[in-house]
Amino acid sequence: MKTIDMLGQPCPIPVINAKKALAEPGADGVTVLVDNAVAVQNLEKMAAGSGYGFSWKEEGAGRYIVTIVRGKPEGGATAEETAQAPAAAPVTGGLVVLIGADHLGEGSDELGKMLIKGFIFSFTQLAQPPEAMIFLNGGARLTTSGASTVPDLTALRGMGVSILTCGTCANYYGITDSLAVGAITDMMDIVNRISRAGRLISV
Amino acid sequence: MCRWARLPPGVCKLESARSIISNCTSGGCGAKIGPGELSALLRGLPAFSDARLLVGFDSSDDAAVYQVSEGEAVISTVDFFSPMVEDPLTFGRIAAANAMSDVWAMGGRVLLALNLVCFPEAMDRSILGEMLAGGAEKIIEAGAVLAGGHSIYDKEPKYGLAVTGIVGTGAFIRNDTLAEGHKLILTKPLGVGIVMAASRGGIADGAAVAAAVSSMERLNRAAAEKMTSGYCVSACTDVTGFGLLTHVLEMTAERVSVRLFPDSLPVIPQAVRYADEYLLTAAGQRNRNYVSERVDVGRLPFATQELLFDPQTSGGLLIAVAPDEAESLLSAIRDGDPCASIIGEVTRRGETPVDFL
Repeated sequence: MKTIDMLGQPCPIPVINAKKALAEPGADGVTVLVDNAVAVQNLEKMAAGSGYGFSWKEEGAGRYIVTIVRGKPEGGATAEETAQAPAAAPVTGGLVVLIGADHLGEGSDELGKMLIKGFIFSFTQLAQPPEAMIFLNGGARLTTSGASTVPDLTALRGMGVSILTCGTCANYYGITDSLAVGAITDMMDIVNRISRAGRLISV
Repeated sequence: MCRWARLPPGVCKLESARSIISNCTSGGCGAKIGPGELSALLRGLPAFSDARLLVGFDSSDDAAVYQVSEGEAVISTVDFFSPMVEDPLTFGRIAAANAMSDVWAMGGRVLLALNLVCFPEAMDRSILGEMLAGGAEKIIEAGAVLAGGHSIYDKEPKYGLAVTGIVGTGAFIRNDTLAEGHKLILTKPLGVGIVMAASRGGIADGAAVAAAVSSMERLNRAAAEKMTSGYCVSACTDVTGFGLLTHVLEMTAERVSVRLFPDSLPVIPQAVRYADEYLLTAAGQRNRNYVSERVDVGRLPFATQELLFDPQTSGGLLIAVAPDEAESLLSAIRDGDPCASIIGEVTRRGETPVDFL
């Protein structure tokens, strides 16, 4: 994806140049560097009005990185855009939670196990649940039978959350057969999901 | 420019040796500090009290009004900004028309003006001469005198006036005294901010730029003289970089509501298309951020929304006049300002300060 440096450029120059970049043949999107939040908002109006995916992050004071992707948010790309750029995944997906241990935080493991149970339960209380929760390494123990977290994860599964456990990890610990909730997945799928996530929480 | 603060050192440059438009500051009223930010700063200043100060900054009015005798008050106002057009003569005219407008918005007469000038040391002095000539031309047209000024070196040119006017103590017109039932007349078309933004991007057509420049250069004097010629006017302001909707909201003063007629808004026609192409200013977005919590514009077409937020340099007067006199005042104003239109009416205070027909 092309990156255009619009630092120091007044509105509407960043919007004009972003539109030019998006209109180039085969362009799947554009990354725009701007130096103020109002320019981010003006780019967002253009992206929203044109049906493009939009995301931004602030990288230090006065430096914003805006990503505009052709195609609808939520993966609803038009046929034409899909044909042009099948690999262009919108980056405006939902929340993905990556859990790499069977406890939360460093210190007492006993406390950490109580905390991860509370942590997972709390997601059942969110108005907008995550898109996916992914379990890696020791985190794989949380989705297998006997784990105190299984009832809450089952509830989350019922709310439409994808509960995914790393197959290599479950194999390593010999718990593949006792998976109690969700499905087994592989690293390629995990990386695809986190690269498309709108927001990512990793613990 | 989208940014007006936190300017990193060293990035400020003029686009060419002859160009007076800099890449550092948006030209014209679009460079105004945002309305929300400004009122927060002003609240931090001590409250001044003087019985002769009839209008001070506590009421966000257009100019200060200070009583000097039983029957007369002086109007004092200042305005300056950086160029929004390349031609220095045109810029001078616009800056002067804009600076004097506040006196007319208060119902007064301009007496004298002082030049305020910032100019780069390395820039051709003839450019400065043309800027000042443009300003002087408009001061003459206003029937006022140029009485002096002050100039300093700066990274980029800026020009404006400190203006003194006069008004009868019973005759000045505030901006926050709307009377229920009154009609709102807007005397100049909206869209100059959007057209100049498109021009800056090199994609505005000549007719649109000419319409915007002609509107910005035009004095509000004629419209103001008609307004003060015996009509029942409850309030008046001039539209600035804060955009029409911010001014309408300010005029309601949490006391009345206003119903706007979106289909009757005078606009520079090409500005609608440019808005739909997202050729928008930073100031317009700041205005949207400031107003959108209090006024729901969601059901209006996108371009109409943007025109309501569009920063106007040397914008028109927004006049509230008794309903039975509105058509008469409108046709009188249209002599000099052919785009003038009745754009809304003052209503009893409702759930929202501003709604749309």
